Amino acid sequence: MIDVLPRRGDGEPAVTSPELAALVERARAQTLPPLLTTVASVRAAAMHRRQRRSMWAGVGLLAAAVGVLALGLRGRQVDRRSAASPAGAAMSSEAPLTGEASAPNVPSERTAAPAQPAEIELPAQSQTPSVGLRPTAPVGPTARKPVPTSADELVRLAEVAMAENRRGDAIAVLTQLVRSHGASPAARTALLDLGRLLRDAGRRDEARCAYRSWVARWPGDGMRADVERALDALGDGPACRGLRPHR
Amino acid sequence: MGLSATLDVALADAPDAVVLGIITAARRGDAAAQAELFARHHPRVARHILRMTGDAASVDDLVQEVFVAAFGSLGSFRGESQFDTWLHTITSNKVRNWWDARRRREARERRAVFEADRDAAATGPDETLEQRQQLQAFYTALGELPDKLREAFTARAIEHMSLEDASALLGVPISTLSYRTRRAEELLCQALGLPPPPGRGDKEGGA
Repeated sequence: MIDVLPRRGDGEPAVTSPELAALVERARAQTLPPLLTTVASVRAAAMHRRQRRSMWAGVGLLAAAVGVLALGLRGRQVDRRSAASPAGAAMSSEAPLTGEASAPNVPSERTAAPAQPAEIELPAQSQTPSVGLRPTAPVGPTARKPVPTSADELVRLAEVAMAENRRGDAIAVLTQLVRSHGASPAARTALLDLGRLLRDAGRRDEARCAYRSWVARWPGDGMRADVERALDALGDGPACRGLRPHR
Repeated sequence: MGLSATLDVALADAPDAVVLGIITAARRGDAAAQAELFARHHPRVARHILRMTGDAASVDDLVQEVFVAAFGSLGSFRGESQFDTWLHTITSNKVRNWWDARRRREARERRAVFEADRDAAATGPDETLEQRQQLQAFYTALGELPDKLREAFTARAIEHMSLEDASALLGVPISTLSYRTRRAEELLCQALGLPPPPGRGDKEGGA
């Protein structure tokens, strides 16, 4: 690295605008809040991250094994069918079925194919949303995808659900996010999204609770006036216990 | 030369051999050594984070992120730079990610609430509230700066580092650092609607 200017030591002021300097001084003077993070929480978070990484590696291996198995089974079925039907050897899955080839006892290729990977639907009342992630390999009907736990994953899932207009799913994910990661910065936006989605869904009492919860958590925030206007627009309603209206 | 050999050499020569000893132990997963590193460095990391982001609510999360990353990659610390400098680099990266995430979040927030009534008048002027809002506006403008300008300005103006120290920390020549700081100041004044810094056409007008 070549320095083209002579060194001026500390003679050069970092800020020359007095107005900006005043703001900078205020930024410097901010008091540090009491920190809750401890080395134990750091170690626990690191361990959790390692476990999650190995869990996903395991899931990947399992999916690959299931895929290989499914392909093997499919190949064996095709071989068996070819052996059973005299025309089988000449028939491929893409070939049109002719009168001779489609013997009544031979199932068509289409019915023998393994099921396509499908959206995994969860029970309607479940708190865990179905958010349209497809498994990487064909799986049985009772399989459940791992429930995402990190705030980042939940934010991503909520964004996908909102982008696809799946309001119910988005509400479920955002609720989970607010409940399980209430202290994270993502919860702040999640509560606002939740309020809007609940309001649009006609669930005004729950929307009011989401907005009230936001105001209670971030009373000094610059957006408070906007959130209070949204609250006013919802009118009066029952008291809230967290995100639930208390009737 | 293996990593442990490098460290051993550094351990012998370094003025702060104790720190390197602690780092070596922490790398092996020694809980006491990790606790010692955390205790020594987390207040400074937290202060950096607060000054770089202006968001007290995020300090805890980011401190945790920094130390999880630091403990996870202690193997890459070769003892050639100060541990503080190395930790500062991790902190800067985490803060960069934080700014990116915040920008995305804010865009969504604007969509979420301001549909109906964004342009209503602000609430009554309370001095504390006004000051807080000014500080918030300052950090919003800071967040809009390119990473390199923001980091230069933070180091020089907010952290009050000397040109030499900031230059060593950020790994850029002093001339570059000086340019970035002044460019950041110009852009901040512009974004905040403040008068341009004095002596901007002249050579160094002084404060």
